[in-house]
Amino acid sequence: MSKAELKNRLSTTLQNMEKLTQQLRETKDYSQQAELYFLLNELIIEQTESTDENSSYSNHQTR
Amino acid sequence: MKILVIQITRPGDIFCTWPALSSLRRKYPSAEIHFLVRRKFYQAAQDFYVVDHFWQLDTEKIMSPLIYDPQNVNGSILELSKIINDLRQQDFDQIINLSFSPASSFITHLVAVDKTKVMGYSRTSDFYLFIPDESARYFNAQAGVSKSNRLHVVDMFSMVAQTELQDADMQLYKFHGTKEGIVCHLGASQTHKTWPVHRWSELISMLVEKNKTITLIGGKDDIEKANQVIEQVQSDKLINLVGKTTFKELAKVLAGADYFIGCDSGPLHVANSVGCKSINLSVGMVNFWETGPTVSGSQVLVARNPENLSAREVFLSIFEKNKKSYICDGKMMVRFDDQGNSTEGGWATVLWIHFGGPTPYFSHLDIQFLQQIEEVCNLAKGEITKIINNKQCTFDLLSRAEEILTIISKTNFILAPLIYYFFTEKANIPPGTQAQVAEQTLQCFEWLGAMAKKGIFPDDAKLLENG
Repeated sequence: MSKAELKNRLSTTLQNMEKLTQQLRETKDYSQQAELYFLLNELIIEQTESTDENSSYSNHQTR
Repeated sequence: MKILVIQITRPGDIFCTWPALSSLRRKYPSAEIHFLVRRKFYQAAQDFYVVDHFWQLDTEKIMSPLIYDPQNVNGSILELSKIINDLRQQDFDQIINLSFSPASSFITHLVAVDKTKVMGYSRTSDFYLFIPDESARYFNAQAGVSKSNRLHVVDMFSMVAQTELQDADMQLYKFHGTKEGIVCHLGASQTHKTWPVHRWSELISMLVEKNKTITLIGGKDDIEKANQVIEQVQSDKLINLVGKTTFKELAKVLAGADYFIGCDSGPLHVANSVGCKSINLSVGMVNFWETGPTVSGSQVLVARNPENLSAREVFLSIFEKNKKSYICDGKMMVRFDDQGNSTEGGWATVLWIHFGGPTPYFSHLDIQFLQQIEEVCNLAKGEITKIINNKQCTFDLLSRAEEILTIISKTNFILAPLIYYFFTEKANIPPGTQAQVAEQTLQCFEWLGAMAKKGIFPDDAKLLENG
């Protein structure tokens, strides 16, 4: 599957995941399950970025 | 002792991790060393003989439920939780995260148990970034393209792992035999980092005229480029191994070569791992100090616009020292001759902040910016003190203060390292009550204000000597 196809397939999921993680932050759900959602969100972002699993040194949300 | 090292980035970074792993094994001879890599890049790590157990993050398997059904988030979560739980059950004594990505920081936090000592990025209990060690904070603040850092990632990885590198740690593979011919890698992971095909053809034509054997290497993505070069050069001195080698085979080819020529990409780091000298074509947005060659005698030719680097200049680098190139001296701290000015740009500021260097000699314009930084800090400190004392605070002023600092960091690269480090420290504030967070934020502004003042009125003798 090409990068463009993958990005296209995952774009809806990414939008949903961003909403979900925002919700988890708002409800202060700091469970392990919630953290897995955050991790999955980041893995999807990596897949949809043009740079692909590179050393994404920044892009950390801060307090 | 059980140690997990995390490196879930690309093959180049995996090869750069080898020296840290090798020195870690020397530091802890009887430790059980585990290594987490992406499944698709596992091949790059499979010869890391100091590792006792490999873990593979299979991103494709984790993503596959979502690819077939975008709603099937739980299918992916199930796959992800399997490897996380397996890792967590190992009860690691140490986790050394050398990836610096948000994903790796979540993995670190999820896998760590109470007793685990964490080095590198992790997360706080409320899932914000947490950087427990000074070395990783240095990386966060100063490393990256367009920044002033001059430490190689190999050295920074070892700093985070808290190990001492020795020369022997640099080589993964040891092959014996004569060295002849030149190995060229035509591609790179990103287009902006590649040198144009027509330039390659020009260079290779010149080299075969000098009776040099040229071996082309690379991955499947480079096949088209290689075919174009072969067609344009038309020589029986060309050997095409593009898309045909494993990393180990590639290492053997590089070990038998006089030189490797290539851009900022994985094969450059394979060349480093076998002690092969490189001519590194540092084109596009890359920082060769961080990701360039580590083998003494290598050269780096820098050009932001790839077209500006001529084939002739590269050709000259092989047969005589090119005056326009940086020469790798193989030293650990900074690996390159720096054309006579070791403190140019923001590097002097980095040395001042992090390594006990003298106060840099700031220009009149820099001093004006430092005064502005001090004023901004005083303003912010006043507002934060109001929060601590439960008084009305203007949060807009605090936001404005940070905006001004960001603008200064983008305008003045000499002072940027100061502001980068301020933001790193601020990002690393742990969860707490509003008063606790305010107190820690105050400390960040106090540090920055004090550094600005020190820059305006230096008190160290070194600067006075320099006049």
